[in-house]
Amino acid sequence: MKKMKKFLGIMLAMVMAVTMLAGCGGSSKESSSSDNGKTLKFGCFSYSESLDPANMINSAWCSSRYGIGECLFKYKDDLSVENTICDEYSTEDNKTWVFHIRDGVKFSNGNDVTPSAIKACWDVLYANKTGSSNPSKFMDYESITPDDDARTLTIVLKQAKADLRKDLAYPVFVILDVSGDYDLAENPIGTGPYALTSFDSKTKATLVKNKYYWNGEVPYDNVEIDFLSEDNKALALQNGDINLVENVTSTSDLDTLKKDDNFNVSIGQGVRTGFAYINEKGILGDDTLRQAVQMALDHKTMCEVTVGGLYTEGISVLPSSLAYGYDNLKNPYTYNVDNAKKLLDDAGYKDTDGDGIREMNGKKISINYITYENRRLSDFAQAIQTQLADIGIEAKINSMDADREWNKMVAGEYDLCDSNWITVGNGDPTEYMANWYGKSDANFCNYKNAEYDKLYEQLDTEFDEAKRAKIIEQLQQILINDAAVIVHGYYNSSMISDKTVSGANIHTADYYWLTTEIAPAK
Amino acid sequence: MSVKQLGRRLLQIVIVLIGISFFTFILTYLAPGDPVRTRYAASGMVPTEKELQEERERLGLNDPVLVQYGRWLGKVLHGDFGTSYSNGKPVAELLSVRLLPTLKLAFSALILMLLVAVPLGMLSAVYKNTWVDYLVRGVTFLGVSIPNFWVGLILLYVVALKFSLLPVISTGDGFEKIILPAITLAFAMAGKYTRQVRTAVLEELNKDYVTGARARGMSEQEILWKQVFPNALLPLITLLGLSLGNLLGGTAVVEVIFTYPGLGNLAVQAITAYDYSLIQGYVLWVALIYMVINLLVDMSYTFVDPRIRRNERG
Amino acid sequence: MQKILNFIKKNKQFSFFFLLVILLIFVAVFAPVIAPQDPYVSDLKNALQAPNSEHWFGTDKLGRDIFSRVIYASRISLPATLTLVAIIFVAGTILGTLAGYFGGWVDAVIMRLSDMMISFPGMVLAIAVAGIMGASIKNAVIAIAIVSWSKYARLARSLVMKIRHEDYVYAAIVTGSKTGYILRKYMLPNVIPTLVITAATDIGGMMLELAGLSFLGFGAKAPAAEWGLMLNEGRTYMQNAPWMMIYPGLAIFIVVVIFNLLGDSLRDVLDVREE
Repeated sequence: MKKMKKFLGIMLAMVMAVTMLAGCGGSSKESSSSDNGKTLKFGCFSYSESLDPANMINSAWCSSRYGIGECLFKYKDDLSVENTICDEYSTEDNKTWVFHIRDGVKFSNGNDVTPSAIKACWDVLYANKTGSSNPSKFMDYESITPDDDARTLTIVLKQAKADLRKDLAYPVFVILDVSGDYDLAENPIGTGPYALTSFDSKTKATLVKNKYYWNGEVPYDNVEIDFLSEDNKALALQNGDINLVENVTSTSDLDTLKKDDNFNVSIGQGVRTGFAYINEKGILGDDTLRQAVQMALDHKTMCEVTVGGLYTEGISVLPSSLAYGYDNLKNPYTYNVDNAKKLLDDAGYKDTDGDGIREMNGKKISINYITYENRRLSDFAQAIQTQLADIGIEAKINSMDADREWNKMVAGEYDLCDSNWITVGNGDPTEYMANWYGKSDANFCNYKNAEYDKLYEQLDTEFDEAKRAKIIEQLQQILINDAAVIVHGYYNSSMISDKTVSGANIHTADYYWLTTEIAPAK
Repeated sequence: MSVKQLGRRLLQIVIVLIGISFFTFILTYLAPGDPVRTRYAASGMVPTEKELQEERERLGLNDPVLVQYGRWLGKVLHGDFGTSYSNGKPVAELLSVRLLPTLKLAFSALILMLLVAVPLGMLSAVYKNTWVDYLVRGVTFLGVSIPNFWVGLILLYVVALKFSLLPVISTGDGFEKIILPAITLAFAMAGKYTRQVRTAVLEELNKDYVTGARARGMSEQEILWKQVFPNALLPLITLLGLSLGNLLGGTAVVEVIFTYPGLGNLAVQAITAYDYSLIQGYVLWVALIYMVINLLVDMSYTFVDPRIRRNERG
Repeated sequence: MQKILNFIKKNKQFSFFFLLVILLIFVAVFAPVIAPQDPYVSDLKNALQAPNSEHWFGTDKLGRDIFSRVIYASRISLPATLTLVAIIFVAGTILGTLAGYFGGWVDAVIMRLSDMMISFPGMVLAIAVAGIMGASIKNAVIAIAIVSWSKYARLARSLVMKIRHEDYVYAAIVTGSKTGYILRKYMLPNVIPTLVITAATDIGGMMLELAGLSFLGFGAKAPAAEWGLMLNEGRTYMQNAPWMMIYPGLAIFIVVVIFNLLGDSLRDVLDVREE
């Protein structure tokens, strides 16, 4: 009997504990709905644990994405820039730049955004930069001089730049308040439409309307951000847990959402290119083989079926949406399995031992293909493996994590190596095109072409936009002619909303998610 | 359990903890994953070798492994678990934030499980070898044989998506967010426990005191609830302790499926990011919890069951 | 022959489940004959087809035949699980017997090691191992083995300790029997039946754990046909191609049920005390 009571006592205690836990959870929920004004529930993947731009590149992106921070300029959808916090600029020699700071712009705590506040913010940034955040890669300056009376900021660069505005639009230069006690990692105070009230990078963030927002009406009073896994994004939207979600990468879910009238799907061709490096210090150094490989691949089916439209097919390393003359490019190696086979036959690479795989100089043609799980890259790899098998080339896929793959790539231990690059992160592809520049540290594929190198070097001194674009167009064509890269396609970003939300569009530059365009539907 | 025994157990716990932490340290040291490079890779930027080197130096990753371990252990003894590589926050804080959700989930799942397993197990024992017994045994068989992540996915699909009864997102507050993960966890456990309860009750029913009680004319109901039930549940305490220990470490698969903000999910994230300091802290924490709970269970056992106490004296 | 028939007659249940297990092994061995298509050959244009007469379980994201993949997956899961159970059975028995027999510091070391392993979050270790040697089903087996042997060791140890101080053991020591002989002749036979039952009932659970690791991406790697991994791949297509998830899940379920039933009936065969 005693035992019985003891046991019951334990049970009771447990039940009470749970009810209590549940109770304290329950009491705080639903408090944010309707009465306090309009609330937007946004679901996204948590790309950064910190919001401090000095911490990581992703940190700066997120501060901009959540509508907290803004830069002096902003990228438009064609990757040119428009004024935001800066409303006027001038430069004589591309080395000394003068920016006028817009009157009346305030931080969300009411502090005035002065030129010296901006300098103070950047001083903190340059002093604290760690990890992948490297502002001097974009702006290497000799001096920054604020003049609060004239509201100007004068920047003298170490080297002339074609367009410093494009670099300053890069989210690492987000303007945050660093006066008084500041916590840039979890409570940055910016000039964007929304201001943070709480932030837990692994679960949830809450924001409120920035009362002092300088650029028009802020449509929502509250924003709740739920940090989700890739697999739950679509489900949460369909279920009604959230009203707005970014980048559903499950193509079948995206398809379902597109067909459902209850949702608006905005798809934008982003600036990411998915591609496979071809290591030319290896079996794929052979021109014929590379060309045959290019002809064997049905990029259309891969982009549209295998990854369900998550990528747009294309022939160049730069996305077709950018203004670098994509339409003028010509691909001599269009998809044609028969031609691919013929090319190999003519070169004498035939299957002599009947195992279905061709030999080259007496050796089996076997390709070492490394890939990783990111934006469906490994699906491309598997699809390419089967297509190469059709023309008698063996591909061995080695799927690993991003880190290992990177090490293998740097060490040159691969024939094909999947990658997913932001091509014009700071509005210009120069850094990205260095991947194939013969003298670059970032050339991991042993590609060498004197003509390419010569043209590439011209980019250093050419500041005229049109002429730069022409050079970049030529660079792209050279890579195509040399069959130097397997381009999977251009990654399509997406923003999906339910019917309570309007104006939710995805932008080319992936730094703007919660903008003032997103408003409650009428 | 005497004071001396308790002291010995505590000493054992300390030794095991040191062993575990050292083992983890060696493992993370041998792992090729580079937390510094992973941070860069996440952003799609190409770091130079110099940048990488500076960052490693800053985190103290270039020192010999024993130096790193000594430094870490010294700090832990002062209550400092270090800071996470990936976001610079104190490890202790990261872990403690996850503690409450994990506790909630663990207790909800256990209670849910007991509510199912105890009645079913007793039913099945009392009606041994009738259709009731067979039915219960059949159902419990399903319970232990279905992959719980599969159950989780199907629940997510049917309950949350098709019927929109419960939320998909398990983060944030609110009791309804815990229901699906708790059911998923309880499902597999209930199968195991129902069988345990059945076996225990059967064993008790065969004991002399039951025959004696019957002879004294006690009703079957009375015997079952007042005598058999409490006795049969005793052996379950150990098992419950073990289960609780496991649950408190977080249950990775279920937490990942429901994006539940518990310790298991944190561990998976820490490992994919090569966040060694967080992994260290997590492992130590889980081991500690596990052993303390076992100790408590053993202690409560001697406390609850007078026979063991007597044996100790004798 | 007569003996076997008698055994079957006496243990109908066990024999039946044993037959089912043989059947499973048969399926794994003759997968190339049974599977209608090559599980690794894809047909990009025919991806995500619903089950039809040509593809009984439909096709996956690369147009591979799911039925064939489910069949072939048994060639990965069955040997991996059986190896895993064999490893922990052998290691646990040996270490536990040694600890129980010798006592003293041998016991202390083995038991502290066992404490360490039992309180180690198994998944973390598995993933760490996957990190060192790369994710693969082999490494998943190693990782789970490292954390699972201690249960067997403890069991073996307690069984050995029960008879360690029996008179006949002392008699054997006094008459000069070698330690190895005593261990083989007295200790192991005492330990093995219980451990065999434990091992048999554990097969199902171990299979689930392996599948769980693959599901998390720390076990088998694409393009391998493995149930846990197939479930992981299918998860993304849950809404539009539920067959990618349903059939591998069913396969795991059926196989685990069979092994669990076998384990239970084996208990009845070897252990008369129960019932």
